[in-house]
Amino acid sequence: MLEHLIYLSPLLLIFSGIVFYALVNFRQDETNKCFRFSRILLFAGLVLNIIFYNKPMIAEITSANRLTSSFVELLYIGALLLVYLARKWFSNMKQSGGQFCYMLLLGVLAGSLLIVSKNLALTTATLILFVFANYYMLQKAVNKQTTEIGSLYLSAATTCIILFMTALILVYRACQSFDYADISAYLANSPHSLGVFAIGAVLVLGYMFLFAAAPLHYWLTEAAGKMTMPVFAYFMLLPNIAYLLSFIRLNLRVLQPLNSELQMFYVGVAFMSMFVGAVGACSSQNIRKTFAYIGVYYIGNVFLVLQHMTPIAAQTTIIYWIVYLLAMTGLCLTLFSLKARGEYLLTLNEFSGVAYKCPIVAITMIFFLFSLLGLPPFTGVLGIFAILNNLAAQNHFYYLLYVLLTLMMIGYAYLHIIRTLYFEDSRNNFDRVDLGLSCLLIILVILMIYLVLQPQYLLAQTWLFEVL
Amino acid sequence: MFNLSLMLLLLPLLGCLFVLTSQKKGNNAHHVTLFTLGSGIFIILRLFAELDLSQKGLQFIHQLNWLESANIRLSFGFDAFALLLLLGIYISVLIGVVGLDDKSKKSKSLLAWSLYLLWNITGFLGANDMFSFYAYFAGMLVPLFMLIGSFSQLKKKNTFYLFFLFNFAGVLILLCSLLLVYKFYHGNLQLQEIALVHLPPKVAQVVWGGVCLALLVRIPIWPFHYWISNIGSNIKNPLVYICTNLLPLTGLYGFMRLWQLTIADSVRPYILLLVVFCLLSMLFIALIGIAHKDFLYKLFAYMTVFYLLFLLSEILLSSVLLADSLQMNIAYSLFIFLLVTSSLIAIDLRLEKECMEKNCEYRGILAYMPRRSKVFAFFVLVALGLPISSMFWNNFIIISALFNFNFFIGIMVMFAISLISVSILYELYMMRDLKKRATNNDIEDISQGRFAFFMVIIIIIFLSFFNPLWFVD
Repeated sequence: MLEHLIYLSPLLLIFSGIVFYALVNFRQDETNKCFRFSRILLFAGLVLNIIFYNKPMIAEITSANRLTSSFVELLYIGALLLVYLARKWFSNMKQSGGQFCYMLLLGVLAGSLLIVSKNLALTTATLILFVFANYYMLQKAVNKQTTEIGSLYLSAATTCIILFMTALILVYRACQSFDYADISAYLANSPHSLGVFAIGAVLVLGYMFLFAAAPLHYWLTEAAGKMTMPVFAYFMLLPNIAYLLSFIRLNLRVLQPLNSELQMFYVGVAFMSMFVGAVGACSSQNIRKTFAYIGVYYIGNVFLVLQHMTPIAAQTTIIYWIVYLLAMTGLCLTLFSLKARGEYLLTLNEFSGVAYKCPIVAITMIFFLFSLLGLPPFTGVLGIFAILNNLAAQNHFYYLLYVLLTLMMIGYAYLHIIRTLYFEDSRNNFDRVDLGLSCLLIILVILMIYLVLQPQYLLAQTWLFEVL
Repeated sequence: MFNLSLMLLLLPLLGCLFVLTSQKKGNNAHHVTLFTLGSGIFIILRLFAELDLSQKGLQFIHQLNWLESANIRLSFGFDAFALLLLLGIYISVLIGVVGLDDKSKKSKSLLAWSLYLLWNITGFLGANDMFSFYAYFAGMLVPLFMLIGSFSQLKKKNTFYLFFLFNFAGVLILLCSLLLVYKFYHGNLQLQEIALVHLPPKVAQVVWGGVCLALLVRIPIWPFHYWISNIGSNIKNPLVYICTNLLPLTGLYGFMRLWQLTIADSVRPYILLLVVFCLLSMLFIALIGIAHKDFLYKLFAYMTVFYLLFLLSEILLSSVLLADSLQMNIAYSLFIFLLVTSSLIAIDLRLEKECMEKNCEYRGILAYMPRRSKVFAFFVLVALGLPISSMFWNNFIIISALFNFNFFIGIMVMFAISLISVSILYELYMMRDLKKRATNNDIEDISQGRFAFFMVIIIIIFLSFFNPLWFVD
């Protein structure tokens, strides 16, 4: 019993933090002690996770291996980074960040459980928790259109969750278990009828909504343009770490028997997301909206590779996603770094001539954008190489052509941003860039350069095959 | 010895970092760039001294185990062909840097991006495996995009988007072709081994056709000529102009490295089409050169005609002449070609700028500037094929072989070269024509320092007439 409690300690720590936030009203706290408190909790949680990296919290419903613990640690590091960034934002805006911290911890709790879950009921519960945290974040994030965007999200999320739970009940009635292995065995042995396909599709639909894959992307792309900076960074980074691994595990452990049935569904989602992402990114003038569309594009690539629910496809996706997350973290950092007269920049026009006033931020932004484009010698080449190599290996040459075409389309959006940063005259009086943020940007660039020079840390992880 | 080649591969990148970290005051960045280029030239000459010219294949091989699990081992090396081109490129960039005005000399971004481009070109010319060949081929795009965007009049137009997307498409096609090779071979291939990979005939056609297309995108052949002509006419900075015009050279170099090994066999059914496109492009661009009144455009047309001549000779003559001797012939020509065109670009752009600033007549302008007139006339005459450089001998051999191969093709090539030569010669005549000028001009002649610099270039060119590799012996 004590042993289990010890293994559960990282989660208990975060949970106690959430309870504390619920009991103690931090809402009016303008000294922002809540950030210090959250930082301590998250750091302690990270350390405990590293110590008990291979110990499952509850062996019956969770699993623990190097892959899950790596992602949980990534989640904690991401949360720590967000706390650091959010503190700067809330201090600048002279607002209390209590509610943000509360929801962030809730997101970390849900994310940790989602990553390690091997039980569909637990997965559903954590997804509901995530939806709640996301909704609350959105409510706090969107200033004027609170009801519109929030209601849209809530209604769509509720529909998805109801469908997800219906699938869950149907599965339970059929195989009397929520365990991934049991459900997979049931799906493998049952005749592949429309009903079974529907169960698989509904489970995927839930993730599609959370990932904001097209055509369920609307809530993120619309809200992104109106979000506050910390909430935008939260949506672009933190949940995506948890969703991806959970989705991969669901594909490999549960849905694999339905691979042939779901394949075209995945390809359809991928094609739509890539097209919507590329076109949306090109047409948007709001920088956060552009980045949200870029996210939709990358999700499309993930679905395209995961059409084959194999460990190789999963490994490719993980590589691609890590590269994407690193570059997106960098882009979020650059957005936090740039201010004009105390105001954070929102539209692309406001970025005109950043290169002349804030050269370090501009050059790092170029680094991250070209990285996302997959041009050598930037880190993104590893992700693009992994994806295209996977498609070529599977003889999907038409898909490969489609990826190239959409990559060129989204390339136009990147070029447009770079043109604004570098080739247009400065219209804004940019504030001095925070030293800490500059250091973080440089560290991230060094990390990414190191990954290019030593790609085996990312590409040659053979143990991934074992745990996948 | 490989340490020296490794040093050459890293030198421009180090120079770029030093330029970025140099102080803004004074010309520190300019001095660092000059030092980097000077050191690079010194290392190339040193490598030439150690090079065994009788030995075939790349020498000074340096290998790097980049990703063992995927069997990707990067390999670099140089031969006389690559080193000679590299020497020409370094001297060209040096000419561009010397030709900068005082304001541009202080621009750290201009110098840093130029050195970054030079790093990519050095890596590309030294690449001995498919992966690094691709990486450096693609890597050139970013610095060029930044240079063109920042230092040309194109920032408000969509042409430079077109430039990037055109070339990016080429890069992606090359990547896909290489991934197909990787699919069949399961590892990174050395360039000389690619002929040994046995691909199914249709796959080979797709793969090597793709590689051919990717390389052709960089050469101003119809229908890929559009971006480069548009960009060329909008750049007024000598260094950027020279850097931009190195891009076709990289396409040509890739072509010459891979054509005989694999591409020729795979794209054999389309060779006639390629030759027709080459010839038509040469003729059209020569005619357009005549129609234009701008010297720089004429020079651009001249460069395009000669790049296409070299491409044509590689396509048609590689089976007739000995591959190595043809390559070296082209390399000798290209070396002088780079020096001459870069010098002309540097002199003319400065002259144009001064003319524009002082609003003076362009015609007859050289008549009052003896120093500028001398060097300008010398470079134009060398470009036109006067027997004072190795370009004369080597072009003579190449064009004779083309005549020998097919008389009609020889006539077409000669016609295109004659057209563009007459056009440039006429421009030189007009610029030196005293009758066309009513008054003396206010523009100063080039400084004695610059004159001495160009005299050194002239001596290098002149010595090559007796022996193209005089600095080795």
